[in-house]
Amino acid sequence: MVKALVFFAVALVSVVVLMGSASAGFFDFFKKDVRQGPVDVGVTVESVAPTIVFVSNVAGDVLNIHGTVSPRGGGGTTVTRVSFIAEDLNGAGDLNDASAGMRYRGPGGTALAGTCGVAPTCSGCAVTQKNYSCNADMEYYYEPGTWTVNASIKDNSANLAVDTKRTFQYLLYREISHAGNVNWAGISLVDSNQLSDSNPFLLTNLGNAALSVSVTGYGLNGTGANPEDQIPASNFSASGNTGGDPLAECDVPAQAVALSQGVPVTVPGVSVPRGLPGNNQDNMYFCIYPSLSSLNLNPGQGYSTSATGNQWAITIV
Amino acid sequence: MKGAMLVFALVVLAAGVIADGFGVTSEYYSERPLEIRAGESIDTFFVIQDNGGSDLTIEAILLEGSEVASLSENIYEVSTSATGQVNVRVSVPQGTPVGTEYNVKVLFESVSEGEGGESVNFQTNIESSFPVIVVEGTSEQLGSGEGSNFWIWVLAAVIVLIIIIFAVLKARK
Repeated sequence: MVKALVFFAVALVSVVVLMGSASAGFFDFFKKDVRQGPVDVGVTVESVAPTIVFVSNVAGDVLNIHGTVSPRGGGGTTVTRVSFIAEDLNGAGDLNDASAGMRYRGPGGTALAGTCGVAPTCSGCAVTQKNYSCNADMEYYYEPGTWTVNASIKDNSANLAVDTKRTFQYLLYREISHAGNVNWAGISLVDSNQLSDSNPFLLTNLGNAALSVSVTGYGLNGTGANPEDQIPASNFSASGNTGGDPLAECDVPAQAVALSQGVPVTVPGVSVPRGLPGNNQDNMYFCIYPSLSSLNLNPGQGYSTSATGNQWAITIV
Repeated sequence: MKGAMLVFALVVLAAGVIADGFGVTSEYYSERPLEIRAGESIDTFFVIQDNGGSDLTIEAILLEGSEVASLSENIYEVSTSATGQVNVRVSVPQGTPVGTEYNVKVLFESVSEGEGGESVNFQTNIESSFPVIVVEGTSEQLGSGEGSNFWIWVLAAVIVLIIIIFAVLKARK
Protein backbone atom coordinates (compact mmCIF):
# COMPACT_ATOMS: atom_id res chain seq x y z
CA MET A 1 0.00 0.00 0.00
CA VAL A 2 2.88 2.29 0.84
CA LYS A 3 4.44 1.58 -2.52
CA ALA A 4 1.21 2.52 -4.23
CA LEU A 5 1.02 5.80 -2.38
CA VAL A 6 4.62 6.61 -3.22
CA PHE A 7 3.94 5.80 -6.87
CA PHE A 8 0.92 8.06 -7.06
CA ALA A 9 2.71 10.80 -5.19
CA VAL A 10 5.59 10.75 -7.64
CA ALA A 11 3.18 10.71 -10.53
CA LEU A 12 1.20 13.62 -9.16
CA VAL A 13 4.29 15.70 -8.55
CA SER A 14 5.48 14.97 -12.06
CA VAL A 15 2.17 16.04 -13.55
CA VAL A 16 2.13 19.24 -11.56
CA VAL A 17 5.72 20.07 -12.49
CA LEU A 18 5.01 19.38 -16.12
CA MET A 19 1.94 21.55 -16.09
CA GLY A 20 3.95 24.23 -14.43
CA SER A 21 6.54 24.17 -17.15
CA ALA A 22 3.98 23.92 -19.91
CA SER A 23 1.68 26.64 -18.73
CA ALA A 24 3.11 29.87 -17.56
CA GLY A 25 -0.15 30.75 -15.85
CA PHE A 26 -0.65 27.67 -13.70
CA PHE A 27 1.11 28.98 -10.59
CA ASP A 28 -0.26 32.43 -11.06
CA PHE A 29 -3.23 31.25 -9.01
CA PHE A 30 -1.06 31.35 -5.89
CA LYS A 31 0.30 34.77 -6.51
CA LYS A 32 -0.95 37.64 -4.43
CA ASP A 33 -0.51 40.29 -7.07
CA VAL A 34 -4.19 40.31 -7.88
CA ARG A 35 -6.01 43.56 -8.48
CA GLN A 36 -9.07 43.72 -6.33
CA GLY A 37 -10.31 47.31 -6.71
CA PRO A 38 -12.08 48.99 -9.62
CA VAL A 39 -9.76 49.91 -12.48
CA ASP A 40 -10.26 52.46 -15.19
CA VAL A 41 -9.66 50.89 -18.55
CA GLY A 42 -9.04 52.83 -21.75
CA VAL A 43 -8.97 51.01 -25.05
CA THR A 44 -7.42 52.35 -28.21
CA VAL A 45 -7.91 50.27 -31.31
CA GLU A 46 -4.69 50.38 -33.32
CA SER A 47 -3.98 48.94 -36.71
CA VAL A 48 -2.38 45.50 -36.45
CA ALA A 49 0.15 44.64 -39.11
CA PRO A 50 -1.03 41.93 -41.50
CA THR A 51 0.68 38.59 -41.73
CA ILE A 52 1.07 36.03 -44.51
CA VAL A 53 0.03 32.68 -43.12
CA PHE A 54 0.46 30.44 -46.15
CA VAL A 55 2.21 30.45 -49.53
CA SER A 56 1.42 27.64 -51.95
CA ASN A 57 3.81 25.65 -54.10
CA VAL A 58 4.66 27.26 -57.41
CA ALA A 59 3.03 25.53 -60.36
CA GLY A 60 4.14 25.85 -63.98
CA ASP A 61 2.07 25.09 -67.04
CA VAL A 62 4.66 22.80 -68.67
CA LEU A 63 4.98 20.36 -65.81
CA ASN A 64 5.03 20.48 -62.06
CA ILE A 65 6.76 17.54 -60.48
CA HIS A 66 8.22 17.50 -56.99
CA GLY A 67 7.75 21.28 -56.62
CA THR A 68 9.65 22.10 -59.79
CA VAL A 69 9.02 24.28 -62.82
CA SER A 70 10.30 23.56 -66.31
CA PRO A 71 11.15 26.12 -68.97
CA ARG A 72 8.99 25.95 -72.06
CA GLY A 73 10.76 24.71 -75.15
CA GLY A 74 10.85 26.35 -78.53
CA GLY A 75 11.85 29.67 -76.98
CA GLY A 76 8.55 29.96 -75.15
CA THR A 77 7.31 31.24 -71.83
CA THR A 78 6.20 29.21 -68.83
CA VAL A 79 3.25 30.64 -66.96
CA THR A 80 3.66 30.04 -63.23
CA ARG A 81 1.04 30.40 -60.54
CA VAL A 82 1.27 30.76 -56.78
CA SER A 83 -1.27 31.78 -54.17
CA PHE A 84 -0.93 33.08 -50.65
CA ILE A 85 -3.25 33.69 -47.71
CA ALA A 86 -2.90 36.94 -45.81
CA GLU A 87 -4.43 37.71 -42.45
CA ASP A 88 -5.28 40.98 -40.76
CA LEU A 89 -6.69 40.88 -37.22
CA ASN A 90 -8.44 44.15 -37.93
CA GLY A 91 -10.51 42.19 -40.42
CA ALA A 92 -9.90 41.04 -43.96
CA GLY A 93 -11.32 44.34 -45.16
CA ASP A 94 -8.22 46.08 -43.82
CA LEU A 95 -6.02 44.26 -46.34
CA ASN A 96 -5.09 46.46 -49.28
CA ASP A 97 -5.83 44.23 -52.26
CA ALA A 98 -4.05 46.50 -54.70
CA SER A 99 -0.82 46.13 -52.76
CA ALA A 100 -0.72 42.33 -53.01
CA GLY A 101 2.49 41.46 -54.79
CA MET A 102 4.70 38.55 -55.68
CA ARG A 103 8.27 38.50 -56.94
CA TYR A 104 10.71 35.74 -57.82
CA ARG A 105 14.44 35.98 -57.37
CA GLY A 106 16.74 33.59 -59.18
CA PRO A 107 20.06 32.14 -58.06
CA GLY A 108 21.88 34.58 -60.31
CA GLY A 109 19.94 37.56 -59.01
CA THR A 110 17.33 37.74 -61.73
CA ALA A 111 14.26 39.45 -60.28
CA LEU A 112 10.84 38.95 -61.73
CA ALA A 113 7.56 40.57 -60.71
CA GLY A 114 4.22 38.86 -60.99
CA THR A 115 0.69 40.14 -60.81
CA CYS A 116 -1.76 39.29 -58.04
CA GLY A 117 -5.47 39.54 -57.42
CA VAL A 118 -8.00 38.32 -54.90
CA ALA A 119 -8.76 34.66 -55.53
CA PRO A 120 -12.44 33.83 -56.00
CA THR A 121 -12.37 31.36 -53.12
CA CYS A 122 -10.53 30.98 -49.84
CA SER A 123 -11.34 27.52 -48.59
CA GLY A 124 -11.27 27.23 -44.81
CA CYS A 125 -10.24 30.82 -44.33
CA ALA A 126 -11.19 32.87 -41.26
CA VAL A 127 -13.03 36.18 -41.61
CA THR A 128 -9.71 37.88 -41.07
CA GLN A 129 -8.08 36.16 -44.05
CA LYS A 130 -7.99 36.54 -47.82
CA ASN A 131 -6.55 34.37 -50.55
CA TYR A 132 -4.52 36.00 -53.32
CA SER A 133 -3.67 34.35 -56.61
CA CYS A 134 -0.59 35.46 -58.54
CA ASN A 135 1.08 34.56 -61.80
CA ALA A 136 4.36 35.35 -63.47
CA ASP A 137 5.86 34.49 -66.84
CA MET A 138 9.23 32.80 -66.82
CA GLU A 139 11.34 32.95 -69.95
CA TYR A 140 13.13 29.91 -71.30
CA TYR A 141 16.56 31.46 -70.73
CA TYR A 142 16.21 32.23 -67.02
CA GLU A 143 18.93 30.54 -64.99
CA PRO A 144 18.21 27.11 -63.51
CA GLY A 145 18.40 26.58 -59.77
CA THR A 146 16.60 27.56 -56.60
CA TRP A 147 14.28 30.52 -56.96
CA THR A 148 12.77 32.33 -53.98
CA VAL A 149 9.18 33.54 -53.84
CA ASN A 150 8.62 36.91 -52.21
CA ALA A 151 4.93 37.39 -51.36
CA SER A 152 3.87 40.68 -49.86
CA ILE A 153 0.85 42.75 -48.91
CA LYS A 154 0.05 45.93 -47.02
CA ASP A 155 -2.93 46.90 -44.94
CA ASN A 156 -4.78 50.17 -45.30
CA SER A 157 -2.35 51.76 -42.85
CA ALA A 158 0.60 50.78 -45.04
CA ASN A 159 1.84 48.11 -42.62
CA LEU A 160 3.75 45.58 -44.69
CA ALA A 161 3.85 41.78 -44.50
CA VAL A 162 6.44 39.80 -46.46
CA ASP A 163 7.06 36.08 -46.75
CA THR A 164 10.14 34.64 -48.46
CA LYS A 165 10.13 31.08 -47.17
CA ARG A 166 8.75 29.43 -50.30
CA THR A 167 11.23 28.33 -52.95
CA PHE A 168 11.07 26.26 -56.11
CA GLN A 169 13.44 24.68 -58.59
CA TYR A 170 13.60 26.11 -62.10
CA LEU A 171 14.90 23.14 -64.00
CA LEU A 172 17.64 22.91 -66.59
CA TYR A 173 16.41 22.73 -70.16
CA ARG A 174 18.42 22.05 -73.32
CA GLU A 175 17.30 22.68 -76.87
CA ILE A 176 18.97 24.00 -79.95
CA SER A 177 17.79 25.12 -83.33
CA HIS A 178 19.99 25.53 -86.36
CA ALA A 179 19.93 26.99 -89.80
CA GLY A 180 19.27 23.76 -91.66
CA ASN A 181 21.15 23.81 -94.94
CA VAL A 182 24.71 22.70 -95.32
CA ASN A 183 25.80 22.49 -98.90
CA TRP A 184 28.51 23.17 -101.40
CA ALA A 185 26.83 24.36 -104.59
CA GLY A 186 29.84 23.35 -106.64
CA ILE A 187 33.19 22.01 -105.60
CA SER A 188 36.54 21.55 -107.24
CA LEU A 189 38.05 18.10 -107.25
CA VAL A 190 41.55 19.51 -106.98
CA ASP A 191 41.36 22.50 -104.67
CA SER A 192 41.67 22.29 -100.92
CA ASN A 193 40.00 24.45 -98.27
CA GLN A 194 36.58 24.72 -99.89
CA LEU A 195 34.13 26.51 -97.65
CA SER A 196 30.49 25.55 -97.43
CA ASP A 197 28.02 27.93 -99.03
CA SER A 198 25.98 27.56 -95.85
CA ASN A 199 28.59 29.23 -93.67
CA PRO A 200 27.96 30.56 -91.14
CA PHE A 201 25.82 27.77 -89.83
CA LEU A 202 23.76 29.50 -87.15
CA LEU A 203 23.07 27.77 -83.86
CA THR A 204 20.45 29.19 -81.48
CA ASN A 205 20.19 28.18 -77.85
CA LEU A 206 16.55 27.71 -76.82
CA GLY A 207 17.39 26.47 -73.35
CA ASN A 208 18.82 27.90 -70.15
CA ALA A 209 22.36 26.51 -70.14
CA ALA A 210 25.34 27.25 -72.36
CA LEU A 211 25.77 24.54 -74.99
CA SER A 212 28.60 22.84 -76.79
CA VAL A 213 27.92 20.65 -79.79
CA SER A 214 29.35 17.67 -81.55
CA VAL A 215 28.84 16.68 -85.18
CA THR A 216 28.54 13.14 -86.42
CA GLY A 217 29.38 12.84 -90.10
CA TYR A 218 28.97 10.14 -92.71
CA GLY A 219 30.41 9.78 -96.17
CA LEU A 220 28.40 11.27 -99.04
CA ASN A 221 27.65 8.93 -101.89
CA GLY A 222 26.95 9.79 -105.50
CA THR A 223 23.35 10.40 -106.42
CA GLY A 224 23.82 9.89 -110.17
CA ALA A 225 25.46 7.35 -112.41
CA ASN A 226 28.16 6.36 -109.92
CA PRO A 227 26.49 5.86 -106.53
CA GLU A 228 29.54 3.96 -105.29
CA ASP A 229 31.64 7.13 -105.48
CA GLN A 230 31.99 8.59 -102.01
CA ILE A 231 33.36 11.67 -100.30
CA PRO A 232 34.43 10.25 -96.93
CA ALA A 233 33.33 12.01 -93.75
CA SER A 234 36.96 12.59 -92.82
CA ASN A 235 37.27 15.11 -95.68
CA PHE A 236 34.95 17.51 -93.90
CA SER A 237 35.94 19.77 -91.05
CA ALA A 238 33.99 21.95 -88.63
CA SER A 239 34.93 24.78 -86.34
CA GLY A 240 33.50 27.64 -84.39
CA ASN A 241 36.25 29.82 -85.85
CA THR A 242 36.46 31.34 -89.30
CA GLY A 243 38.78 33.26 -91.56
CA GLY A 244 42.44 34.03 -91.20
CA ASP A 245 45.37 32.41 -92.87
CA PRO A 246 45.17 29.49 -92.84
CA LEU A 247 41.39 29.46 -92.87
CA ALA A 248 40.38 28.51 -89.34
CA GLU A 249 37.46 26.28 -90.33
CA CYS A 250 39.78 24.26 -92.56
CA ASP A 251 42.77 24.25 -90.25
CA VAL A 252 42.74 20.67 -88.97
CA PRO A 253 43.64 19.96 -86.23
CA ALA A 254 44.83 23.33 -84.94
CA GLN A 255 41.54 25.25 -85.20
CA ALA A 256 39.06 22.81 -86.69
CA VAL A 257 38.15 19.18 -86.23
CA ALA A 258 37.88 16.58 -88.97
CA LEU A 259 34.63 14.65 -89.00
CA SER A 260 34.74 10.92 -88.43
CA GLN A 261 32.46 8.30 -89.96
CA GLY A 262 29.62 7.69 -87.50
CA VAL A 263 31.53 9.10 -84.56
CA PRO A 264 30.56 12.35 -82.83
CA VAL A 265 33.37 14.89 -82.62
CA THR A 266 33.15 17.99 -80.47
CA VAL A 267 33.48 21.14 -82.52
CA PRO A 268 36.14 23.51 -81.16
CA GLY A 269 35.24 27.12 -80.58
CA VAL A 270 31.49 26.57 -80.39
CA SER A 271 29.73 27.61 -77.19
CA VAL A 272 26.18 28.75 -77.60
CA PRO A 273 25.37 31.01 -74.66
CA ARG A 274 22.20 31.18 -72.65
CA GLY A 275 20.48 34.49 -73.08
CA LEU A 276 17.91 36.77 -74.54
CA PRO A 277 16.98 36.29 -78.19
CA GLY A 278 19.88 37.64 -80.20
CA ASN A 279 22.33 36.94 -77.39
CA ASN A 280 21.88 33.19 -77.50
CA GLN A 281 23.60 32.33 -80.76
CA ASP A 282 26.89 31.10 -82.12
CA ASN A 283 28.15 30.17 -85.55
CA MET A 284 29.68 26.98 -86.85
CA TYR A 285 31.66 26.71 -90.10
CA PHE A 286 32.15 23.74 -92.41
CA CYS A 287 34.91 23.07 -94.89
CA ILE A 288 36.14 20.37 -97.26
CA TYR A 289 39.74 20.80 -96.26
CA PRO A 290 41.83 18.37 -98.34
CA SER A 291 41.92 18.08 -102.09
CA LEU A 292 39.55 15.41 -103.40
CA SER A 293 41.78 14.60 -106.38
CA SER A 294 42.80 11.19 -105.10
CA LEU A 295 39.18 10.00 -104.78
CA ASN A 296 38.61 9.76 -108.54
CA LEU A 297 35.05 11.03 -108.23
CA ASN A 298 32.53 11.38 -111.01
CA PRO A 299 32.24 15.15 -111.43
CA GLY A 300 28.84 15.06 -113.08
CA GLN A 301 26.74 14.01 -110.14
CA GLY A 302 25.68 15.21 -106.77
CA TYR A 303 26.74 13.72 -103.48
CA SER A 304 24.40 13.31 -100.57
CA THR A 305 23.61 11.36 -97.44
CA SER A 306 20.33 10.27 -99.00
CA ALA A 307 21.99 7.39 -100.84
CA THR A 308 22.94 5.63 -97.60
CA GLY A 309 20.25 7.04 -95.34
CA ASN A 310 22.82 8.03 -92.77
CA GLN A 311 21.94 11.50 -91.61
CA TRP A 312 24.54 13.74 -90.13
CA ALA A 313 23.78 14.64 -86.56
CA ILE A 314 24.27 17.64 -84.35
CA THR A 315 24.36 16.65 -80.71
CA ILE A 316 24.18 18.94 -77.72
CA VAL A 317 26.90 17.76 -75.37
CA MET B 1 41.51 14.48 -115.89
CA LYS B 2 38.39 13.53 -114.04
CA GLY B 3 39.77 15.02 -110.85
CA ALA B 4 40.37 18.40 -112.40
CA MET B 5 36.75 19.00 -113.25
CA LEU B 6 34.15 20.74 -111.22
CA VAL B 7 31.34 18.96 -109.46
CA PHE B 8 28.34 20.92 -110.63
CA ALA B 9 25.66 19.11 -108.80
CA LEU B 10 24.54 20.22 -105.42
CA VAL B 11 26.12 18.49 -102.51
CA VAL B 12 23.45 18.40 -99.87
CA LEU B 13 24.05 17.39 -96.32
CA ALA B 14 21.04 18.93 -94.77
CA ALA B 15 18.24 21.06 -96.03
CA GLY B 16 15.01 22.62 -94.97
CA VAL B 17 13.55 23.55 -91.68
CA ILE B 18 14.50 21.56 -88.63
CA ALA B 19 11.90 18.82 -88.45
CA ASP B 20 12.83 17.26 -85.14
CA GLY B 21 12.85 20.23 -82.79
CA PHE B 22 12.81 18.88 -79.31
CA GLY B 23 14.34 19.63 -75.95
CA VAL B 24 15.02 17.89 -72.68
CA THR B 25 14.40 19.07 -69.13
CA SER B 26 16.62 17.71 -66.35
CA GLU B 27 15.92 17.66 -62.64
CA TYR B 28 19.60 17.26 -61.81
CA TYR B 29 22.65 18.60 -63.63
CA SER B 30 26.30 19.40 -63.01
CA GLU B 31 25.60 22.30 -60.64
CA ARG B 32 22.86 20.33 -58.87
CA PRO B 33 24.09 16.78 -58.33
CA LEU B 34 21.86 14.03 -57.06
CA GLU B 35 22.95 13.20 -53.51
CA ILE B 36 22.22 9.69 -52.36
CA ARG B 37 23.06 7.43 -49.43
CA ALA B 38 24.50 3.97 -49.73
CA GLY B 39 21.68 1.46 -50.05
CA GLU B 40 19.20 4.09 -51.14
CA SER B 41 17.14 4.36 -54.35
CA ILE B 42 15.93 7.68 -55.76
CA ASP B 43 13.62 8.23 -58.71
CA THR B 44 14.26 11.19 -60.95
CA PHE B 45 13.24 12.11 -64.47
CA PHE B 46 13.91 13.79 -67.76
CA VAL B 47 11.12 15.40 -69.72
CA ILE B 48 11.11 15.48 -73.52
CA GLN B 49 9.33 18.44 -75.12
CA ASP B 50 8.31 18.17 -78.76
CA ASN B 51 8.46 21.67 -80.20
CA GLY B 52 8.48 20.71 -83.85
CA GLY B 53 5.66 20.39 -86.28
CA SER B 54 5.28 16.64 -86.13
CA ASP B 55 5.09 13.74 -83.74
CA LEU B 56 8.45 12.39 -82.62
CA THR B 57 9.93 9.06 -81.72
CA ILE B 58 12.82 9.53 -79.34
CA GLU B 59 15.19 6.81 -78.26
CA ALA B 60 16.82 7.24 -74.85
CA ILE B 61 20.18 5.51 -74.54
CA LEU B 62 22.03 5.27 -71.24
CA LEU B 63 25.61 6.15 -72.19
CA GLU B 64 27.14 6.30 -68.72
CA GLY B 65 26.15 5.28 -65.21
CA SER B 66 24.46 1.97 -65.94
CA GLU B 67 25.96 0.58 -62.72
CA VAL B 68 23.63 2.80 -60.69
CA ALA B 69 20.91 4.06 -63.07
CA SER B 70 18.22 2.48 -65.18
CA LEU B 71 15.60 3.91 -67.52
CA SER B 72 11.95 2.91 -67.35
CA GLU B 73 11.78 2.63 -71.16
CA ASN B 74 13.97 3.32 -74.16
CA ILE B 75 11.51 4.44 -76.83
CA TYR B 76 9.21 7.42 -76.33
CA GLU B 77 6.46 8.58 -78.67
CA VAL B 78 5.87 12.29 -78.14
CA SER B 79 3.07 14.16 -79.87
CA THR B 80 3.46 17.63 -81.28
CA SER B 81 3.60 20.28 -78.55
CA ALA B 82 3.37 17.58 -75.89
CA THR B 83 5.78 16.20 -73.34
CA GLY B 84 7.06 12.73 -72.52
CA GLN B 85 8.48 11.78 -69.15
CA VAL B 86 11.54 9.56 -68.92
CA ASN B 87 11.77 7.99 -65.48
CA VAL B 88 15.19 7.18 -64.11
CA ARG B 89 15.85 5.08 -61.01
CA VAL B 90 19.19 5.60 -59.30
CA SER B 91 20.23 2.93 -56.79
CA VAL B 92 23.53 2.80 -54.93
CA PRO B 93 24.54 -0.47 -53.24
CA GLN B 94 25.05 -0.79 -49.51
CA GLY B 95 28.66 -0.29 -48.49
CA THR B 96 29.47 2.22 -51.22
CA PRO B 97 32.04 4.64 -49.73
CA VAL B 98 30.95 8.19 -48.99
CA GLY B 99 32.21 10.55 -51.66
CA THR B 100 31.94 8.04 -54.47
CA GLU B 101 30.80 9.80 -57.64
CA TYR B 102 29.04 8.47 -60.69
CA ASN B 103 28.00 10.24 -63.84
CA VAL B 104 24.68 9.37 -65.44
CA LYS B 105 24.55 10.37 -69.11
CA VAL B 106 21.60 9.77 -71.41
CA LEU B 107 21.53 10.35 -75.16
CA PHE B 108 18.16 11.36 -76.59
CA GLU B 109 18.13 10.56 -80.26
CA SER B 110 15.39 11.32 -82.72
CA VAL B 111 14.59 8.21 -84.70
CA SER B 112 11.82 9.83 -86.71
CA GLU B 113 12.00 9.36 -90.46
CA GLY B 114 13.80 12.11 -92.33
CA GLU B 115 12.49 13.63 -95.48
CA GLY B 116 13.21 11.84 -98.72
CA GLY B 117 15.25 12.88 -101.71
CA GLU B 118 18.37 14.92 -101.35
CA SER B 119 16.85 17.20 -98.77
CA VAL B 120 18.08 15.31 -95.78
CA ASN B 121 17.50 16.86 -92.41
CA PHE B 122 20.26 17.12 -89.92
CA GLN B 123 19.32 14.86 -87.06
CA THR B 124 19.42 16.64 -83.74
CA ASN B 125 20.41 14.74 -80.61
CA ILE B 126 20.68 15.84 -77.01
CA GLU B 127 22.92 14.49 -74.29
CA SER B 128 21.86 15.13 -70.71
CA SER B 129 23.90 14.11 -67.73
CA PHE B 130 24.07 14.58 -63.99
CA PRO B 131 26.49 13.60 -61.24
CA VAL B 132 25.49 11.18 -58.50
CA ILE B 133 27.34 11.65 -55.21
CA VAL B 134 27.22 9.23 -52.29
CA VAL B 135 26.77 11.17 -49.05
CA GLU B 136 26.87 10.42 -45.32
CA GLY B 137 24.39 8.04 -43.76
CA THR B 138 22.70 4.80 -44.65
CA SER B 139 19.30 4.09 -46.08
CA GLU B 140 18.15 3.00 -42.60
CA GLN B 141 18.97 6.43 -41.26
CA LEU B 142 16.65 7.97 -43.79
CA GLY B 143 13.76 6.82 -41.64
CA SER B 144 14.78 8.97 -38.71
CA GLY B 145 11.11 9.50 -37.98
CA GLU B 146 10.70 5.76 -37.64
CA GLY B 147 13.63 5.77 -35.23
CA SER B 148 11.84 8.31 -33.05
CA ASN B 149 8.75 6.12 -33.07
CA PHE B 150 10.83 3.20 -31.89
CA TRP B 151 11.85 5.00 -28.71
CA ILE B 152 8.30 6.14 -28.10
CA TRP B 153 7.21 2.51 -28.23
CA VAL B 154 10.00 1.52 -25.86
CA LEU B 155 8.86 4.18 -23.42
CA ALA B 156 5.26 3.04 -23.71
CA ALA B 157 6.29 -0.57 -23.09
CA VAL B 158 8.19 0.43 -19.93
CA ILE B 159 5.17 2.31 -18.63
CA VAL B 160 2.89 -0.64 -19.30
CA LEU B 161 5.37 -2.91 -17.56
CA ILE B 162 5.41 -0.69 -14.48
CA ILE B 163 1.63 -0.70 -14.38
CA ILE B 164 1.54 -4.49 -14.61
CA ILE B 165 4.12 -4.88 -11.85
CA PHE B 166 2.17 -2.50 -9.69
CA ALA B 167 -1.04 -4.40 -10.33
CA VAL B 168 0.60 -7.72 -9.48
CA LEU B 169 2.05 -6.37 -6.26
CA LYS B 170 -1.29 -4.98 -5.31
CA ALA B 171 -3.04 -8.29 -5.98
CA ARG B 172 -0.59 -10.21 -3.77
CA LYS B 173 -1.40 -7.95 -0.88
